[in-house]
Amino acid sequence: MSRTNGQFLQWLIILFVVLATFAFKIHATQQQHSSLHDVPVSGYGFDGRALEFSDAELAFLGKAEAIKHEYSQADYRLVVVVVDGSNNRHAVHDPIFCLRGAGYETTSNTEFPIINGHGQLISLANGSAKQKVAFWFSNGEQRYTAFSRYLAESAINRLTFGAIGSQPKMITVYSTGGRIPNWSSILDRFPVLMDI
Amino acid sequence: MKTNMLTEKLPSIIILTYAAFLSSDVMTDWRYSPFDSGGHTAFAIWFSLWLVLAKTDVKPSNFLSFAAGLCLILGLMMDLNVVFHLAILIAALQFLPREACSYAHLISGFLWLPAFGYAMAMVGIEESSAATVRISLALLMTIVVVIIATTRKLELRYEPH
Repeated sequence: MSRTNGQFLQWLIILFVVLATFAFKIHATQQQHSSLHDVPVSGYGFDGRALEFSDAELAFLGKAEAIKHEYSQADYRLVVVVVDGSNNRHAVHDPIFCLRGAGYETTSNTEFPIINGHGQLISLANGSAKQKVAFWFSNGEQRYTAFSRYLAESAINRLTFGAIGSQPKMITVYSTGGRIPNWSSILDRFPVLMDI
Repeated sequence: MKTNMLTEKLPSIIILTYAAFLSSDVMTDWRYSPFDSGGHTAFAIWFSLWLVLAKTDVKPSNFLSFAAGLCLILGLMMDLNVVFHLAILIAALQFLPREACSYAHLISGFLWLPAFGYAMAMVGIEESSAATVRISLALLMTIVVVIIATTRKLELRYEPH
C-alpha cells in the first residue's frame, strides 16, 4: 500500500471513530427510562419505604437509574438496592470485588436458588461487624450471579442498539432486621423482587 | 521533512490522545479503589519506558490504527473502560519500533490497568498487597524490556555487514 493510501486509511479510521462517538452519544440520550421507579414500595403481605441514596452513592451512580427500598414482613427487614446501568454501565460492578475493595473480608460465599435462576449470598466481616449480602443480576427472564455474563449481555444489547436482549439489572439485598435462616424462602415472600 | 513526519504521525497522535481522554477515569480508580492502588506508579514506569523506546522514524501501521480505532468504537458502544485502555496500549505501540522489546513493553502496560486489579482480586491477592505486586511486576517487566532492547542493540552492533 502506498504511503498516501495508508494515510488516507488512517484518517478514515479517525472519521469512523468521530462518527461512532456522535452516534452513541445521540443514542444514549434517546434511551428509554427503565421501569425501576414502578417497583412498588408496599404490597400484599409486605410493607416498605423508599430510602434516599447518600451523596457518595449518588456520585457513584452518576446517570444510572437506581432504587433503594426497605421492605419489612414479620420479623424480617430487607434493604433492596436495584441498579440499572443502561445510562451508566460503570455504576454496576462485581459486588464481590466492590465489597472486598470497601474493606470487607468475605468469610463465605454460597449460591441459593431463586425463581428462574440463583442468587449468591456473601458473608462479610469488617472487624467485629458482620453482614450478609445477597445479590444477583436479572435480565427480566433469568437470574444469575456471573459478572462476566452481565458484561456480555450488556455489551450485546448495546452493540445491537437494544435489538438483542435487555440491559440486565443488579439487585443487592441485605438484612437490617433479625437473622435470616433461609434466604430462598424469605425472598420468595417478596414477589416484587422477582418481578425485576 | 519534519512537517511530513508530523503529518504522517498525526492520525496516530489523535487516536492516542482520544484514547487517553476516554480513559481519564482511570485516575479515579487508582486513587480510590484499593485493588488499583499503585496503578499510577506502574503507569509512570510504563510511560517513562515508552518515552525512552519511542522513535520518530517508525512508520505508522494501518493495522495498529485500525485495531486502536476499533477498540475505541467498541469501547464507546459497550461502555467498557478496559477496551479504551487497550486502545491506549495499541496506539502507544505505533510509536515504538517493531521489535521484541516493544511487545514486551505492551505486555507491561497491562499492569497499570484497573482490569489487572480485578484479576488480582479474583486470584485471591489481598488488597493490602495489590500495590506491591503491581509495582514489583512493573519493575520486573522493565528489566525484561531493557534486557531485550540491550541484547538487540548488541546483536545489531556485531552483525556482519
